Amino acid sequence: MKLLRNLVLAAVAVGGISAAYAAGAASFPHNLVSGIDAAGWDLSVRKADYDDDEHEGYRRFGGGHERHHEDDDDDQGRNYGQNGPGPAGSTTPPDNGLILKGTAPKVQVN
Amino acid sequence: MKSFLAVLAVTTALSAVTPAIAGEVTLTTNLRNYGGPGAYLAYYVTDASGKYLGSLWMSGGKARYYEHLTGWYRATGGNLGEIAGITGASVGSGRTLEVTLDLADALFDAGYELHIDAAVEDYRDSPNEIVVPLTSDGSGQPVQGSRYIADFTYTR
Repeated sequence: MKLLRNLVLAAVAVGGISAAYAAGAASFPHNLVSGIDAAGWDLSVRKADYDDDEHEGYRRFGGGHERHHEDDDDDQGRNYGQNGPGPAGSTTPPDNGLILKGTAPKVQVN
Repeated sequence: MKSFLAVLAVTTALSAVTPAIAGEVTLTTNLRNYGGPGAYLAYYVTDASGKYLGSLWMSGGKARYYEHLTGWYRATGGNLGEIAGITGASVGSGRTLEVTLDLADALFDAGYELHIDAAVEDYRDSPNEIVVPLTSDGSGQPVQGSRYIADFTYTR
């Protein structure tokens, strides 16, 4: 009889503690969490990604797949520099026999 | 002073008889309201047989998209040296681009053609959307585009 009473008490105690964590009334000891953080573990919650697009990170441009970079905008698309050509005014136009040598284009968008 | 006036007279006389070798040409492109992001536009010249001579302008600064300007890309292999110094931003839907260049007079009435390839992200590529012979008579005459370009005009 005494054994049965102890089992019931233990069950009630465990249930109460579980309910308290579930309701947010209790939390894991701060020291424990800090220790886990310090060890480099990431406790943040991540949402599951159910997107079945195997080409995540790619966007279509004219019907093909192109690498999508976070800096993509509808541009008014300047991305001169590393992989882009020199923009007008930064360098002389090519000497292709079409454009008068040494002249720069004048550009206006309305 | 006397020698200066003599030189001035000679140079003035020479400039009067020497024909101009280049002149300002304005390329005006009106885009349709297609509702998408900015259009990439490649302007280039070929001879009558389609042989590429050179580029006049590139709208759009991201080189990784140039392969969608398929006519220009095929002709140049994507060589950025072809458009260094003649590149600007892409052109928004419904906007008008005006580019003024000093172009060789020899380009006109000699069988050369101006091509414009167009491409827009998430939309179909449009190579050779405009192909127009460069002639004196064609100056100021609008040419209709087929997809992104409402019309194009060159004026001398």
